[in-house]
Amino acid sequence: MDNLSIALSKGRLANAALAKFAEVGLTFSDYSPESRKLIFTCPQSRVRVVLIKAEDVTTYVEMGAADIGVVGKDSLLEKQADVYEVQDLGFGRCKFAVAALKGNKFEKQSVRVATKYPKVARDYYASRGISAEIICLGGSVELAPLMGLADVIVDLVETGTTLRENDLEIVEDICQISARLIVNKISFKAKSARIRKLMQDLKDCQKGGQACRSLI
Amino acid sequence: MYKKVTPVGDELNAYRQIEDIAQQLKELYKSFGYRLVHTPIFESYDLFSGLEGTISLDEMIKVIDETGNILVMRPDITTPIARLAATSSISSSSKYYYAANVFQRAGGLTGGRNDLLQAGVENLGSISVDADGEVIHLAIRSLQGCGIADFKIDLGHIGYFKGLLRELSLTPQQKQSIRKVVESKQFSELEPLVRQVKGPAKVKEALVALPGLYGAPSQVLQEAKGHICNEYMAGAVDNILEICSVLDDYGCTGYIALDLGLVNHLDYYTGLVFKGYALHYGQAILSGGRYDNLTKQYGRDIPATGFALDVERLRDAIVKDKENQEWNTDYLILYPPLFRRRGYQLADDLRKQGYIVETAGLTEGISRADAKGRNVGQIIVIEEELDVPTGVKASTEVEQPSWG
Repeated sequence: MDNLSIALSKGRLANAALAKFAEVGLTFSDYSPESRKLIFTCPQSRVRVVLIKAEDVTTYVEMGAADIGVVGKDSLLEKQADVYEVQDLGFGRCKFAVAALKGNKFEKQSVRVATKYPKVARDYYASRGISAEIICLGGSVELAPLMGLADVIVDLVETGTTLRENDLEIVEDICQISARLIVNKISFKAKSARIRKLMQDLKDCQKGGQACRSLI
Repeated sequence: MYKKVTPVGDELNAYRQIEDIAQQLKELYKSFGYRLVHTPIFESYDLFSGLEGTISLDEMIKVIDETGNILVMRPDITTPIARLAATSSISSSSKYYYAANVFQRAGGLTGGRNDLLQAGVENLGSISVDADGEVIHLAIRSLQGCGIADFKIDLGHIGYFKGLLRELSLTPQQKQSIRKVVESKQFSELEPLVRQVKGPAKVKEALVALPGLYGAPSQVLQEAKGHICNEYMAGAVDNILEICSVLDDYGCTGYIALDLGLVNHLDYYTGLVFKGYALHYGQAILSGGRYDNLTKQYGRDIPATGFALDVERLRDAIVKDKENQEWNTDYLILYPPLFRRRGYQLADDLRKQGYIVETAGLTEGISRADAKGRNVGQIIVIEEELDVPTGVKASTEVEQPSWG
């Protein structure tokens, strides 16, 4: 029987994914949310899970080092990958939005944007026909408007708490984001039955919330 | 300073293997009457700009010559061959092969390489399915001849998808979005996207079904026929059937699968498209199809079909194949003589589920270290009577060697 390897985005997405896998009967005896391990195996199902930095998941799956990956749509939008994006897993929900300092309504023709997602920002403003100067930051993007580095930010927003606490408000929503199941194009064909079954089990659990027990 | 570019040790070995593979491929193509062709490494930028091709200008490596002209380092050999056929006085029916370096900006899809060894064939001048069949057969022989055991050629036909799109009035943006979503098999995204489009229900159903139209030819064609909405789609299905019949006469249909969701480069390909891959290697090794419109752009109308093969990826796949063929047992069941029967029963139950299972008596002195050396997935020691298991009921002593 062939091995199936799954790459998960380290952090909340990985924990949510592993919880979902447990619901469909795929458990890893050596896993716990506090564990520092990066590899978990389920010998019975011949499945291995590896925890990887979010932006690297697509690379692993594209090159075939992992058959399957769980990654946020934000990573897929920022870095296009030659993979099949077969399912919306439903968790990790948030959105891309444009945010600015509270009360800051400007009608500029061009705008300075600070963001960790330069491609997403560029594409968004291009689609709106607005000239934008994109400033790429590594983190703490919320500080940029206050420090005068940028007029607005393009960032992921979940509850909006971080924005509020930094005196920012959403000016415009860009698009909805959630966790996706991606599959290497060749693995999808070569291990089709097992992968389709996993997809179906995950879908069924999402719908009915029923506990589905099945070894993959 | 030289360490960066000069190959060392293993890499020299790899180069020799790559050379051998390229030589084998060249002999194969020559034996079918294809002629070796060389095209210049540096081509004029004008050859490629304004061309509807498979490689964007951004991905090409540009060079400035001494007179200030922009040159491009050839990103493929297909385009120069098309120009050659269109502008020379040779007969318009010709078959060429090549094995030469092509150049592209090192990006994600080339795995960081900007210099690739590409081998391939171009069959010019024939619109018949026999030409398509021959080219696919050569693709199969290329992989087979180099020793890849498990491989597939996925066949598609862009006429099916393009025929479907004709039934809808879409803006270019909508067409692009739908194409992208179908190509990347975004099952979740496709349905809501199609719902927004105006059109007959049958057409929308077919679109939603499209990414799922892959797998064994007979099954896929059956389903594909059911979704036919016009003569273009019917023509595409007929074309595939005819090509499969040619391949049947070659005796190689065992390597063929279909994927009607192969909808890349719609303005370049004009019919059949295909990709070849080894089942255990994560990236496609060869790709090709029919591209009847290319020579038109150089002033002469010559139908053409062919494929290009990444020789370095082929070599990597061969090496990986050899590594994987190492023996790989899923379970080793150790039993004391009293529970031998139970041990055998458990082994059989597991084998029925598709696992590779070995059994041995505890008294045979097989140590854990032995088992590790034999690449066993999991060891089960039977210490008490087990009921006939439905899954794996390991006893208290279960060891999990590192993932094999």
